[in-house]
Amino acid sequence: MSAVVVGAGLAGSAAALALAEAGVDVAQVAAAPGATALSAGTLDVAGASPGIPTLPWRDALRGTPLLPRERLALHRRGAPSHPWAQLFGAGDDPSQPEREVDAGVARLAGWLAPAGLGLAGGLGANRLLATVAGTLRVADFAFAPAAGGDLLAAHEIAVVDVPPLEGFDARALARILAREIEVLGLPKRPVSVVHPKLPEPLLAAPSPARVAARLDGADARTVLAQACQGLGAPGRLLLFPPILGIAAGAELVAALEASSGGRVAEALAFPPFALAGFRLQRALDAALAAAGVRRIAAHVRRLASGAGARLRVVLAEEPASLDAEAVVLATGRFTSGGLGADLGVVAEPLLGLPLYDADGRRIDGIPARRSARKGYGNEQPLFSAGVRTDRRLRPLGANGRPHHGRLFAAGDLLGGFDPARERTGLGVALVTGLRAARAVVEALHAPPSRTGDVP
Amino acid sequence: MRGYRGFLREMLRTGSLRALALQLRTGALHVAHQAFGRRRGDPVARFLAAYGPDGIREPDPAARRLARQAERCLVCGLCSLECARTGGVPPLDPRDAVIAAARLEVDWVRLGVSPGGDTACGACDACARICPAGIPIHLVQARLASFAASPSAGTKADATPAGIG
Amino acid sequence: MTRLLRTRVLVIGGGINGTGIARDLALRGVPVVLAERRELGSGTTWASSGMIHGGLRYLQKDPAVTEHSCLDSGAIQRIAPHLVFRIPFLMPVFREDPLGPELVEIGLEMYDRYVPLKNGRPHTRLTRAQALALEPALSDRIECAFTLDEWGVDAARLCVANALDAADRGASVLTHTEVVELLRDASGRVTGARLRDRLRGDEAIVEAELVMNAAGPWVPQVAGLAGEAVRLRPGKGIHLVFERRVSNLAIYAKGVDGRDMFTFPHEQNSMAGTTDDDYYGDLDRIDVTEDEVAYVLQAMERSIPGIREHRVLHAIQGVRPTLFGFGAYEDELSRDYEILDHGAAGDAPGLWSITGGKLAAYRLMAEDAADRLCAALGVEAASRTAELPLPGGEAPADLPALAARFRIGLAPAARLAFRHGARAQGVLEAGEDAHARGRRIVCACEPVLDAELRHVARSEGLRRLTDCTLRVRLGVGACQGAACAVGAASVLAEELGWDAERAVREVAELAAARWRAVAPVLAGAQVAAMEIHRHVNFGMLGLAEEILP
Repeated sequence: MSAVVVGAGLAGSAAALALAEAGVDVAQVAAAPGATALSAGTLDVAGASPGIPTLPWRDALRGTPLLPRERLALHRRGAPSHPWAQLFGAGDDPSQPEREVDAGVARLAGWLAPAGLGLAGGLGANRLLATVAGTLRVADFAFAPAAGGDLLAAHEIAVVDVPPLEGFDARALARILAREIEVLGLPKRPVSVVHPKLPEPLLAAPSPARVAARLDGADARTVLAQACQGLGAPGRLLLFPPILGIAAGAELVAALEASSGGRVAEALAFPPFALAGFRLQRALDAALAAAGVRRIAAHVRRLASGAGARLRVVLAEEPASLDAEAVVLATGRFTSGGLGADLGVVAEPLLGLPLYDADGRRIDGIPARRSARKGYGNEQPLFSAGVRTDRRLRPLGANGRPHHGRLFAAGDLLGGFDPARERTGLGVALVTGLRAARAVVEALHAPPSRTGDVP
Repeated sequence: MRGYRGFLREMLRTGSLRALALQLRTGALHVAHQAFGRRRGDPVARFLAAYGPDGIREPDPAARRLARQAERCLVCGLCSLECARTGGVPPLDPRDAVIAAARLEVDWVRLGVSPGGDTACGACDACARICPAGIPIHLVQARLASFAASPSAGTKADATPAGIG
Repeated sequence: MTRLLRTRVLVIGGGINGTGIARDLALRGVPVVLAERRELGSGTTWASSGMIHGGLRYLQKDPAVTEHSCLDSGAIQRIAPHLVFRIPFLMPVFREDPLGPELVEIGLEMYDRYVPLKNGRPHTRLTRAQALALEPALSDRIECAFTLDEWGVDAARLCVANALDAADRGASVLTHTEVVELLRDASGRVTGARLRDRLRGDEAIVEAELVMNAAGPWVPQVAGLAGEAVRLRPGKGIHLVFERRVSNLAIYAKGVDGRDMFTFPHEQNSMAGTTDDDYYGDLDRIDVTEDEVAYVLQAMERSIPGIREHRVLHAIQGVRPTLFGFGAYEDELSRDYEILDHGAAGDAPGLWSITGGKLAAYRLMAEDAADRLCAALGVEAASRTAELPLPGGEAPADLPALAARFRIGLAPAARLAFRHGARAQGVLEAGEDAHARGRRIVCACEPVLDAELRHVARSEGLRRLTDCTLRVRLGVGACQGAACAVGAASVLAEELGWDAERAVREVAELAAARWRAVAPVLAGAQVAAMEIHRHVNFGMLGLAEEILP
C-alpha cells in the first residue's frame, strides 16, 4: 500500500480522492462516519473572525459587509495557530488562498456531481441561509438543496409547514427569521407560512428521515409537487424542512420548483435531523467507490512502525493491519473518536500525539473537566484543540518535530480553531485534505528519508 | 461482634438512653434468632419475588453489556437516517431503541414491536454500522423485542429492559 | 403603578418548605402570597436526593426522629402516590468497615420495627455470593450484604404540587419574584414586603399580618432585611447524574473519610452522592469542584468497581440550611428543624423563619409552622395536609387507556402520569389540536410531549425555558437540550407570548445552564455530546452574543 487514509469524512475523502487521481495506491479505513455526516449543508472557509466575538454575518451585513474573501484574510492574520495561518502564512501571495479554495471546491463539486449532489457559492459574495430554527448563517458555499435558499436573492420567504414533523416548527421558524432579518438591518422581506395539502400516507411517521426516504420515490415526489402547486412566485423562496429526499439529486427540487413556480430550498438542519450531512457522506462514499479507492470498515487501534520506513496501521478487525508508505490521519475530534476522553483524560488515541488549543496550550493528559472553562460563551480549550503540524501538515510530537516523515494530518484533527464557533469545519477539511494529499505525493516521490526527519 | 466496642463508645457519646435500650433489646433477639437458626429460604428469590412488581428482575449480563454500549449515544440521528434509507418501516426508528433502553417504560408501538414480541426491525445492522459511537443498535432492538415476549411483559417489570437486568 | 396585595401571610421561598407551608395555610382558608425569587424548588429542593427515607441513621441518637420520619413518609405516599417509587437498598459490608455484619443487622432489625409505618419491607441478609447474584456490579471484596427498603420522590414535582394546591385554594404563587425590602410599621413590626418581578421588572407591595421566611439557605439573607440574625451551618452537597441506570438498586458506598453515600435510582437515571461540606460561598452560583467529583467517584468505586466506566451526564449541587452547631463534623449536625418567631426571640415581630429539617419531614415541618402561624393569627382550623391528596394524587392514572385514547406511546404516558398523576388526562385533553401537535415528542430523551409543555405554561405558571429542567425534566438527558431546546422554546413562545428575541435568549440561557452543570464532570462520551451541543448552539443558532458567561 502506498497510502492509507484514516477517516471517511470530508478531509479523509478529499485526500483519498486526490491521491487516487494522482495515481497513488490508496486505501481508506474508517469504522463509522463523524462530523461530516452531521454537517448542516454549508461549506465555509472564512467563518467568524478570530478575536472578534461577534458573529461573522453580523459583521458582514451590519455596517460594512465583509466579503468571504475578506474574512478569510482576517483569519490568516488573526490567529497564528489557525490552520489558515499555518498553511497560507502572512507573507504569501494574498490571492493564493482564495484560488486554492476555489480550485478545491471545483474539484469537490466534480467528485460529487455523479451522485447528484450540487455545490454552489463563492468567496466574492455573501449568501444568507436560514436554519430550521429560523436563525441565519452566512455561507461561503452550500450544498443542494440548501444552496437555493439564499435569502439575499429572495424578495419574500414562505416557510412550508409540514405538521406534525419532529424538530420543525414552521411558525416559530418564520417568527425568528423575520426578527433576524430586522436585526441585521436588511431590507424587509415578508415571511409567511404556507400549508400544502399533504395526504396522510406521505406523513405516516413524524420522523423527517422517514418522510425524506419516501420522497425518494417518484410517486411521493409527484404527490408533493401537486400539493405545492402554485405556492411559489417569482422572487419567492419556499423554505422546506429537511425532508427533500435522502438521495441527492435535483429531480425533486426541480419538480417542486416547476409546480410551485418559485425557488425551493431546504433549511439548514442539525442533529438529530442532519440530512444534508448524511447526503454529503453518501455522495463522498459513492465518489470513493467510483474512484476505486479500497474502503476498509474497521476500527484503528493504533499506528506503529512497519517494515523499513513504513507505517503500520493496526486494526481491531480484519485485515488486522495495513502497512503503508504514507498515512493521512483525518480522524476528526471527539464526535468521531479522533480525540478521546476515556476516564476523563483527553488524548489522541492512535499515537498519543500532543494536543494544543488555539492559544498553544497543551491539553492532552489532563482531565477534560479541568480544561473546561466556566461560561459557555467563553473560549473553550477543549474544543479548539487538536494536533499541531508543520507546514507540510505533519503532526508534531512533544519535541516539536514531526512524528514521522510521512505521517500527515487533515481536517478537524488539526488544532488551533474552534469549528463550532467559526463554522469552518468543512472548509478546513477540504483544503487540508487536498493539501495533505499533495504532501503525500511529494513525499512519495522524494528521496527516502529517515523517520522523524524535519526538512 | 466486630466493632461493638467502638459502637458502644459512639452510642454513649451521642446516643439517647431510649436508643440504647432499643438496641440492646433488638440485639438480644438477634442473638437468639442466630442461635436457634431461623431459616427463611433463599433471600435472593424472596427479594426478587417481593420487588418484582416494582420492576426488579434477575440481572442479565448480556443486557447490561448492551446498556453500557448504548450509554455512548450522542443523539446524532444517523441511525434514523440510515434505517429510513435502507427501507426500515415506519414507525421503526433505531434512535428510539437506544433511548428506550434507558427508560423505565418502553414505547412498544414506536419501537415497532407487537405484544408477542414480533418486531418490525429486520436486524440488518445498518444502524449499528453507521453509528459513530459503535452501538450495536440492532441488538438493543432485538433485546427490547424479546422483553415484549417475556412473561412479565405489560407489567411494571418491563422497567429498564435493556437497561439493567 | 405599583400593585398592592393584601393577604394574611406572606411566605418567602418557593422550595419544599415554603410551598408546603403555603399549602397548609391555604387548606385552612388562610390567604397566602408566596414569593419565590427563582423557580419553585430550584434551590435545595432540586439538589436533594429525592428520598423520603425513614432516617435509619438517627436510630442511634434519637429513635423519635426515625419514627416521625417513617410516619410522615407514609403520609407523603398517601397524598402523592404518583410521585413516589420504591427504592430497594443494598448495603454491602466490607471487612474493614467499623461495624461488623451482626451490628449492622441489629440496626436494620431495629429499623424494621418502623418500616411498616412507611409501607416498607423488612431487610434481608445476603451472603457474598447471593449479593453478587442479585447485583453483579458489586465489588467481590464484600463480606456480605443487606437489603432494605426506602422510597424515592420527585422533589421538584412534589414542591410544585404543593404550590398548585395552594394556588387552587386561592393563594398567589409568584415565581421569579424577589423580596426587595421588608416593610415595617412605626413600632418595628414587620407588615409586609416590597416585591420585584425579576422578569418584568415591575414591583408590588404585599401587606401581610405575618411574614414566613422559608427561604432555605437564604433564610439569613432574608431575615437580615429586618435586621435579624439567623445562624445556619450551610452544608453543600453534590450529586453526579449518570446517563442511565447503573442499577435498579441503591447501593451504599463509603467515602474515604467514612461518609455514607449511595448510587441510587433517580427518575430514569442513577445518581451518586451526596457530600456535605460547610459552605461559605455564593448561594446563587454554587460550583462543583474537582475534589468533590473525585471524592464521590472514589467512594462509589469501592462498592461498584466499574463505576468509572459509566457515563456521567452532569452534576447537581445545592446547599442545605442546616441548623447551626459548633464543633461538630457536618455529618453529625442535627437534621432537626427550628421555627423562629422573630417577635419573641428578636426585634422583628411579625416575621417568622424556618430552618433546618430535611425533605422527608417537610409536611410535618409545614404543619408545625402553620400551627404556630395560625395560633398567632387566631385561626383555629387544623391541618389537613396529611389527609387531602396533592394535585394528581387523587387516583392512579390508567396508563394503557391514556396511551390508547390519545395515541401516544407508553413511555411518554408513563412519564406524564408520573409527574401529573390523575391530572395527566387533563394535560392531554388540553393539548389536543387539529394537527395532532400535542402528541408530538419535544424532548426525546425524557420524553416530554408538546401537550405537557403547553400545560405547564398555561396552568402551572411556568415562566422560563430553564424552569422546564425542573418541571418536566427537559434537556437533562444525553443531548443536554441540543436536540430539543429550540422546539421547546417555540412551544413556550406560543403559549407565553414570547417574541423571537426572547425565545432565542431563553434557548441561550438553557444552553449555558446545561454547560454549567456538565463542565465539572466532563468526560468520555459527554465531551462528544457537548461538541455537538456547541455545534448546534454556536454553529447553527449563532448564540455566541447572547450567552452569558
